[in-house]
Amino acid sequence: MSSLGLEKTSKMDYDLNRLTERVLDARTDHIYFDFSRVIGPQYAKMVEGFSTAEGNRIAAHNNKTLFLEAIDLWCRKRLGAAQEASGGKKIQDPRDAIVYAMKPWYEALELDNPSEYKMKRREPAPIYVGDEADAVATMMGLVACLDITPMRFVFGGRKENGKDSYERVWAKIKADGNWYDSDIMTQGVLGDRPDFPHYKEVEVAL
Amino acid sequence: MSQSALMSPPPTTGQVIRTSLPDTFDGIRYEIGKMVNYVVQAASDPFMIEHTRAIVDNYSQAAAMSGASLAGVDPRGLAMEALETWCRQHYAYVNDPPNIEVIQTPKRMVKQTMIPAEVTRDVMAPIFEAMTIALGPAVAEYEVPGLTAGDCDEGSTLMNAHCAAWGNGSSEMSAGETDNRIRPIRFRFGGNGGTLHHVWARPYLGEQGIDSDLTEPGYNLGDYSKFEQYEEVEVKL
Repeated sequence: MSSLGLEKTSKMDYDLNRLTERVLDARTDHIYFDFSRVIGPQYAKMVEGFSTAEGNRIAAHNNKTLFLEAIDLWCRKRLGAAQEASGGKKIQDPRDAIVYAMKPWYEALELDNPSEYKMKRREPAPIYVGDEADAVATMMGLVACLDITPMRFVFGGRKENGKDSYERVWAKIKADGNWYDSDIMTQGVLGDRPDFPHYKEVEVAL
Repeated sequence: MSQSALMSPPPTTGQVIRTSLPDTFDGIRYEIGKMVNYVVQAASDPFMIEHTRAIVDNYSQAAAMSGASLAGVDPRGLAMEALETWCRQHYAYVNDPPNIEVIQTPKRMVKQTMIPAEVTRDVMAPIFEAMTIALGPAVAEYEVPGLTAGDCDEGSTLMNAHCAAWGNGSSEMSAGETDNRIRPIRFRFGGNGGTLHHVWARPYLGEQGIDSDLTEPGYNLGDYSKFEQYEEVEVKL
């Protein structure tokens, strides 16, 4: 038996090792790292600006909840359930969606004066058709790049004849002292928790 | 760990250097060495020199236009104020990933702030779409700021690099002429319980060190956090 309480040959046990590696690898991948550092602080600044205008300022400074929300939101719409038919090419690796998003950013950075960069007409954003669990692990890797931790995989399923049987996996992440479920593969928002009779949570050791 | 690795030139555009660091004080020394090295490199980098000149010139002009008298103001103090203001407007504090130490060159950080807003909007397109649904057309009018992000190592290196580069490259001084550059430039480390776990910039106006901690949003020039121990490391320029 594995530490998960599952038989070694079970599909979810195999997935857990692979998924954990995907999260760990993301921390040292400069594209994930740059991407997180762009969308987290930019989103936080935007929220700060609009909330201030409404008289209810939410500070952007190292606001990990907002950083997490940005990544959750982006991943839902580029890797998860909120993807829209864009006519873009189909991709199996979630990293390709991030590479696509960051391409103009890196092209601009290559210039001596990035402000002179002109956006070119782009192909539509790719459509992610790969493994749902890989998308979840990728989202967690992006979150780890900003040290939003601890984080857990949550497996949702049922107990059948005394054995665990899991149907879904999503993330649970602690930001600024609060735990948030992040299930990018279903419609909804950060904090929504899928309903299953049985759950198992496994922390990712970072 | 070799000295050549420590003093190797900073990564060029698009280059990523990965180094395994021992989990000892050697690892910290290596990191400090990198920070110092990046400031030294920035001090003679024409890009950084021109960038800092423009910041200080714009700041001085804005001050003059607002009616402020700059007569008798130490130009180094004014420059330091201008450079810190710029850094505060463009730097966002984030943590490094757990157990991974990341340090970008100041030049790379500055260049990130120059990336056009339409590029940032494109990277964040799904977020802007969602925000537009939530908040309406005001989102289209939102002015995307030029930002760069980093932890305290990067924030302090960014500020010190600005101070080191400002005023460099001007004509050679004649004997007896006062050096109007900001010197010396130091990193100041703080910590408790025998460890140093935070760092900020401490450029000097002659004998007087001026603390600058970009990671603290409410701090002014001169403010610094209270720790049990402090240490300073000078950048040899």
